[in-house]
Amino acid sequence: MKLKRHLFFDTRLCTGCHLCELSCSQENAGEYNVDGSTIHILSHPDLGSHLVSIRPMPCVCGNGKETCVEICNAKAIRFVDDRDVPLALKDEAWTAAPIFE
Amino acid sequence: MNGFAGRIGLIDLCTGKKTVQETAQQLIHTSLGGRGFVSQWMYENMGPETAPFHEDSLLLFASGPCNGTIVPSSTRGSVGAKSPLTGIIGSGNTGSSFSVQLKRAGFDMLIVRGKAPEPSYLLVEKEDIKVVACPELWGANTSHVTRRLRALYGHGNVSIACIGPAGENLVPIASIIFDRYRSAGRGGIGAVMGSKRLKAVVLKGSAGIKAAHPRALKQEVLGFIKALEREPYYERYSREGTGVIVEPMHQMGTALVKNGTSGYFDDIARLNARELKRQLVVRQKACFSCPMPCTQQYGVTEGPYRGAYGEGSSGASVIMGFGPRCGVADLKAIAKAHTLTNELGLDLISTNAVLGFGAECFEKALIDSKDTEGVPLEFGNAEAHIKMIRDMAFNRGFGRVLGLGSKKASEIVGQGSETFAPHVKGMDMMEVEPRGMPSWALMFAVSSRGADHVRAYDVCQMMPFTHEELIRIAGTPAVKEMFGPEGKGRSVAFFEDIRAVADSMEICRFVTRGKLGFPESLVDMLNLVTGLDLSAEELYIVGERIINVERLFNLREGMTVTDDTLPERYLKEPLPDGAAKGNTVPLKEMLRDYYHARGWSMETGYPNPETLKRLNLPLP
Repeated sequence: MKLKRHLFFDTRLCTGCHLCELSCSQENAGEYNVDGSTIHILSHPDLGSHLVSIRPMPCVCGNGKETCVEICNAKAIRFVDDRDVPLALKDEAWTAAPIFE
Repeated sequence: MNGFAGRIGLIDLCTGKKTVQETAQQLIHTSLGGRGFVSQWMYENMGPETAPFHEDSLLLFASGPCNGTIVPSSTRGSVGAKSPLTGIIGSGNTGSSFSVQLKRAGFDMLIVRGKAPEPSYLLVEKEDIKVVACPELWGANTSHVTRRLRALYGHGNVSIACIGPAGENLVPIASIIFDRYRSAGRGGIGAVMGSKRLKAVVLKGSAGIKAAHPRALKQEVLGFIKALEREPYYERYSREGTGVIVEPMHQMGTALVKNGTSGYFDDIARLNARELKRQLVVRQKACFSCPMPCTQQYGVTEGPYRGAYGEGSSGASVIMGFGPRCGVADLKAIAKAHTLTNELGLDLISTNAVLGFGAECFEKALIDSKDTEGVPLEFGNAEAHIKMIRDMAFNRGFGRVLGLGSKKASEIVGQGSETFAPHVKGMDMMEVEPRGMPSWALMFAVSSRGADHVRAYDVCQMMPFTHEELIRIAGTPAVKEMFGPEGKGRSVAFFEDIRAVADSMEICRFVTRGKLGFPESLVDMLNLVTGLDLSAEELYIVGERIINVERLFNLREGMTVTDDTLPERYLKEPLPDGAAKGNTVPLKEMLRDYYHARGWSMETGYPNPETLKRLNLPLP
């Protein structure tokens, strides 16, 4: 059975480069467009803060092969299986990405 | 073609008429994009008869083929205009996301002609360009304008380029400010924008950008990021930005101190990395699409400048410029001076150059407090410098003189001040001591936009290149010697060429400052985005061609071979102290080697006929 996977992020590590969105949108729609990505980074325009969120769209990448994680050299995001969610929540550095609607 | 929007938009502000034309394949093949587009277009469409502030003059904004893709640090963009400061090519390259949004709004390049009947901004979105009147924004600082326009048009996919009061007041050292903290347009391109009564350009992107071979591109990009992480600068810049190199540069004798009157700054320990962390709040962030977070957010938490906040990727330039160059050791005041230049829309480098120059004139009593209307413009008086920055932007008091740039200011002050006015071809020099770093002195002397360090950004003495790489770059490993002239001419020509390539792809020079900037490291990404089949050798030729086009533009404007020089001080006065004590710049020898490497005539300054033929450029 395919386990459900949840995106977690560490806000201290995200640099706001948006490479995850660009890479994700390419998988989703065959073009680079931050409006078409499943992962969605909310950035403050002036004060340099970034929050990772998820649009209510399917992730088309395979388990363990998520392109957003692959391209994030800041290592600010990771996917967590259902069974490991409590463990991930135990680590205060990591937050489950909220759904952006 | 993939990687391009396929359109160039032209707008005439006199009539509001807009024209759209296809981005020609020929233009892409000869000039790549970005800076290359700007230079080629200016060369073909703006001659010596057009004065910078005339309504026929052109103001250009351009993106490159990689903008908006996953190519690392591909978020640079270029601007261009004829410079009111130098009379030659004025072009610049900036961060922010304006080039990404320009392309996503449907254009590879935006060309503005004419003067608007009233203060206006351009709204560029969905392949359309609108002129919108905005008399209410005229006079406003750049942060105010940016906030107001964002409130109207949004944040995420919007980029805003605007001028501050300096540009409106036609101050020849005014820049354009992008998304509050980034700037481009050294040489007064902000004033050209002001002369057109163009307060801002709003770029609202929506389109996606396609790559020819996205899967292979991703693999290439992942490999590039791994290679970047192995570069010696990656870790340091990611953790601490560029501000940490101020003290080491001073120790090497490369920091300009008190306008070049000294090679040693007593208070340098007050400007080191530890003090930077202690006195200013500093965080690191990345530019769009960049895996190296070298941008610094900095802020002042206490004292008279409390609340000053800004961002930038050029921390070293800011600290050395408003610091040792002006005799100032107060980091909080330096931060304030930087935020103020961005708010008012002044060029950071020209601003600190004229302050250092003015302070030397004041201390030598070539000017007095009557001239400065009571402002004690001495070295180290940060408060006076900050007042003078404001006065420059508003053409007030002695700011009226300094705002003209150091060349014209020295012509007004006279009394021998021309020998130490820090400019080449009218462009104010950045804050590196030429006698401490001859390769950079040569860069200043020959750069196509006047004294400038980023057009070549020769890092031979700083990067651990292999013996083979040094031979390839300069023909001799002796180029590693900091003070000697050997190899510098060929090295500067090499770096000018490769920077022209990266600037036209619109990739950042900090990320590609070492061998990652060699066309061999970039060509695959370019081909995988565009579908072109270029070789690294062909890219070197494209870079060299761009340098030659800019040269031809300048010669046509009346520049001569004698303009490839430095202020007299750096050629004749030995540096009195510091690590480069006793040095002058061995310019003649380096220039000869540079001209030889370039295939240019030492007598006329023109490219030799065989050089032009090799680059497929017509005889002028």
